[in-house]
Amino acid sequence: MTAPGGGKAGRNRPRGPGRPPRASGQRRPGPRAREAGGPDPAEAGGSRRADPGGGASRPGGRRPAGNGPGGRGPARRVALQRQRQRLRRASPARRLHASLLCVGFALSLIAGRLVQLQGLEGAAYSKQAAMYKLQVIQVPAERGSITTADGTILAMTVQEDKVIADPPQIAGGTAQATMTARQKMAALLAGPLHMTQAAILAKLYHPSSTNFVVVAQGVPALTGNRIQAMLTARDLAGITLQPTYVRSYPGADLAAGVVGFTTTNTNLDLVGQAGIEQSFNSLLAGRDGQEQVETGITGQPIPFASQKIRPVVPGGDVRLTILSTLQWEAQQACAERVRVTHADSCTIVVEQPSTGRILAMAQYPTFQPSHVTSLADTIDLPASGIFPPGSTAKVITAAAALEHGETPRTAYNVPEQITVNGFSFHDAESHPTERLTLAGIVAHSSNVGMVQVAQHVRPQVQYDYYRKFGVGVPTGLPLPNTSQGQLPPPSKWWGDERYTLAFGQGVAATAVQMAGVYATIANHGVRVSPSIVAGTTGPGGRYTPAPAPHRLRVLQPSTAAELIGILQQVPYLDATIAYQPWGEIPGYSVASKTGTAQVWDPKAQCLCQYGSSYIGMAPASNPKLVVAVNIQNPKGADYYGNYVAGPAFYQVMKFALASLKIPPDHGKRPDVPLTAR
Amino acid sequence: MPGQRHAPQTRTRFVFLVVGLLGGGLLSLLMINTILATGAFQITALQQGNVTLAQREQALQAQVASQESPASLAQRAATLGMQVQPRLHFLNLKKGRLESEPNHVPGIPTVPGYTP
Repeated sequence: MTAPGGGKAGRNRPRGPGRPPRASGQRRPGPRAREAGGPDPAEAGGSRRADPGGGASRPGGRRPAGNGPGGRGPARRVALQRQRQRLRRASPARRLHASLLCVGFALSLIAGRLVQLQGLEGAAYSKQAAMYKLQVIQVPAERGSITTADGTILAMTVQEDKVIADPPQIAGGTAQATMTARQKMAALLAGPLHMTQAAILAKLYHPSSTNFVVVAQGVPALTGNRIQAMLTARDLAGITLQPTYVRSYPGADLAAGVVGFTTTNTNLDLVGQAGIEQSFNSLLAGRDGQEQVETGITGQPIPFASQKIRPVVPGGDVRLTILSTLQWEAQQACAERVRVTHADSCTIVVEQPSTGRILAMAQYPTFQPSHVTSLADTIDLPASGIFPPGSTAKVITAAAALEHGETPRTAYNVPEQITVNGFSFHDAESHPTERLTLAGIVAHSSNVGMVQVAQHVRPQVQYDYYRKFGVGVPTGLPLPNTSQGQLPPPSKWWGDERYTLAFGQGVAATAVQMAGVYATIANHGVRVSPSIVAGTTGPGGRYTPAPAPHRLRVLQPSTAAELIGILQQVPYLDATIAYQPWGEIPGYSVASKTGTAQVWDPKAQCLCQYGSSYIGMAPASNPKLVVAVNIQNPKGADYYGNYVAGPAFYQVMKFALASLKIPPDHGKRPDVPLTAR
Repeated sequence: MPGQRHAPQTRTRFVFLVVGLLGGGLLSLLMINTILATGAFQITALQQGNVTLAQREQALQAQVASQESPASLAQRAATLGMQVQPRLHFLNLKKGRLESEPNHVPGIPTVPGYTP
């Protein structure tokens, strides 16, 4: 204890003996106080506890009798000495007051600081504290997969590691030691990375920047784990593994145009850039979650201390209507035709007429979604590339005519060339004037005949039929940048457009739209909007089928049947006249149409390129499939649809009938008169 | 007085009771925390194991996917010497016979690449 220990202090105590003054810095009685007969520290220590009880150890009560400084000692010298002492010490009361003030000041400083820390800046400090022990973990949402209707995975996400080296960290004291260390490291990594030791060593000695070089990319996560374990076990520094999510396309270019591709943005998230990857990006991507955890020293979360800030929403899956093997066959056929005919591009669309499902949508050129080299190749040609359909569009005007008073037997005089309203039209090949029926005009694909048929169809009706068949209206396919084709309204038709529309010139459509035209005829006159997505699996894991497609009756069933009967003549005519038997598939009846359109050549500024088509359906008695082939700018001597596109139709249709196990109908070609008297 | 004589004994008992309760409480709290912490370690270890397994599953899935892709199947079929059947054959269940289409259809020319 402090002051109460001293005798003087006892006497001059300003307050009651029961309340010792508050502690100052001095924690035990000074030697002088003890000299003066004060109780020893232990006793003084006890006094405080006993004080409230009063009595026994009360220092004040006993000491006045002792030889305290204020005592009535006889010796004058002693008195003088005491006087000096007193002068030196000043008044105890003042000393007490002063120390009290000091103590009070110090305490108030502490209290002020306390208020500042706890009250005013408390929130900031507690946040800072939380930062040290709390960790916000980003829980990445894995991007969903894209599969075909039969479950073949077209796009999936895999975790891969990037192996990064910091060469200065892989070093020894001398150049020789550095060499040894790096050689050892290279030898260690060579096996798991499937690289030569020399190749790794070269990277370590020639980093892309002072302390950074990517040793390997796309290392499977399992290999990455093994490397990490090896490095940890040997306590080696200088190699870091950076996990990345990458998109894997196991089918390589299979349905690449539909699937699209992804790129990685600055947050290292995968973002779809074309096809389904783009149009279903938000479903596929899901949403990253955030979790806040208090972690222990080894990183294990402390129980009950974690807090989910934002739950992770896993990416959903998209299932397409595409059939993988059919798609592959169509892609092979496309590539082969482009190779043989030296064409610019090829598209093949296989559609199921009754459902509108697109079973294959092939194109050439195509691309590898995992390494996109040319953005132009990533354009989804069947849904966005437009071309004049040529003779394959003759069925549209013919259908309009059949539903407005004409019959398949309506006869026309068809010369080789005709002039209408000052515009002259001629057939593709020279022939004497014939008396053809409407059926014969379509089957022989006579432009001159179609010009005459168009004269019996009002422009608005012709336009309406084009639109009802789906040309010039959006397809509704959930793909980015799809085209609705080019079909000007009758008010904007110029020159001979009314007549050229009858044979598919002056209008442009996509391959999907042209397949849709024939699917409408095949489906007994009811157009079912095409679909490419069968359904999606949401974050909850529940599969949701795509909404039912829109259905529209375009033709009377009888008109559709008449058209199929006419189109069934085409394979036979092609085989017997042109020696192109591509519509003859034994066991099945096939209804088809060829087309050779003139296409504008932007370089030569003329209609001097060709677009060759072959579209058909089978079995004709009850069509289950439509295959539409279009090949742009074939450069051989023969550019006719049957020669250029026919073989691809034959290959794909035959494969589709067999692989979908569509029973043969052994159908006979109906007897439709093509000529009249 | 007997009450006063018993008082220290009762108090001792009471103190022991309180100390016992407090001690027991503290011990059980310690045990719960220990168990929870063990659980946390276990969860962390299992989660790490789970990640490794998920990665393995993913790797295997990717392998299966690339091997069952049509291109890879076609290539392996070709290396095994398999060929695409050029002609269609139908199994007639009514007659219980395999019906093959003829090699040549009357009136239909045969051109390269055309196999009826």
